[in-house]
Amino acid sequence: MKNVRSSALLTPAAAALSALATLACCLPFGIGAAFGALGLSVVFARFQIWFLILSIVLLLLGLIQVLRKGPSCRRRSRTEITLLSIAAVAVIAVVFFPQWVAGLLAGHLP
Amino acid sequence: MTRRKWLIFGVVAGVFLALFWTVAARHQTPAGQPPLADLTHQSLSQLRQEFNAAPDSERVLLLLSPTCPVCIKGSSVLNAVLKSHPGTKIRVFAIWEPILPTDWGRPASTILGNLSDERVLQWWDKRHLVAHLLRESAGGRDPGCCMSNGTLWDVIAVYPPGARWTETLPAPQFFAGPVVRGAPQWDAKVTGNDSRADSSRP
Repeated sequence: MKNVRSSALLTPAAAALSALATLACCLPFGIGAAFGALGLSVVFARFQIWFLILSIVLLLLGLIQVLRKGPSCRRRSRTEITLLSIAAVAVIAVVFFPQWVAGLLAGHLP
Repeated sequence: MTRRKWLIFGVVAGVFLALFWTVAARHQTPAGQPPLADLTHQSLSQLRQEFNAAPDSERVLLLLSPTCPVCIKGSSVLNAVLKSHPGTKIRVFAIWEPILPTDWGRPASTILGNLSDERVLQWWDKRHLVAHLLRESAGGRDPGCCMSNGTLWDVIAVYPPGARWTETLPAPQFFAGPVVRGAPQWDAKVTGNDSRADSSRP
């Protein structure tokens, strides 16, 4: 973890969260309500498409960060690659298998 | 690219296609239900015929988005309500419509399977035809939620026996949203009113 750049960790994490936020439009009726976050539905509903675009952009940014060679001969961090892979799976799942992801989320609603 | 990398790429692409075929590309309704039908201006009359073909039943109209987790939960809740009233004369018309940006395709088998009761008919309404008809027939009644760019979604509308869809959809007797909240409310009414139950029910 010593050589891991924080931006290289944050970017894929943000990409995954942003992708999931696309489907979180109406979660305040379920999960969000438990946290008293009813107003969130309006925010999520208004920016759904932007969350999706943002997640793809962040994923590409993360990919560039990992692939780009720095000034030194530093090896690519396994943590960075693992996080980016997880983010890629999350974004691809939301884009190509949204119904499956929504089904999973629905199964965890109270 | 080396041969090894091409092989890895090929395997990943193959797995992706297989997953896509299995998870997203099948649109089979549960056993006992007719196949998922697309709603168009032409086929709307077919829906109307189905609606009017069960005048002695209570008819339930659902508007749902296939990638909204709360809608999917609502469909499961409604299915549980139906299962708890097996002998009751009810016909459910589940209308799936694209609302979220992720609603780019017809509902997949896994989503359709949430409404497994045989009294359910499922449709894909890409043009929001039923949502607009329901909004007009509701006469300004607001379910208190569930409107996206002027299109109703995640709502439940219930029509009593005898209601008939003529030129316009009749005004619903019960109208609520989201379905996950409305279905239990309607269930309370079902439990409190046994007049619709057929003679096979104890």
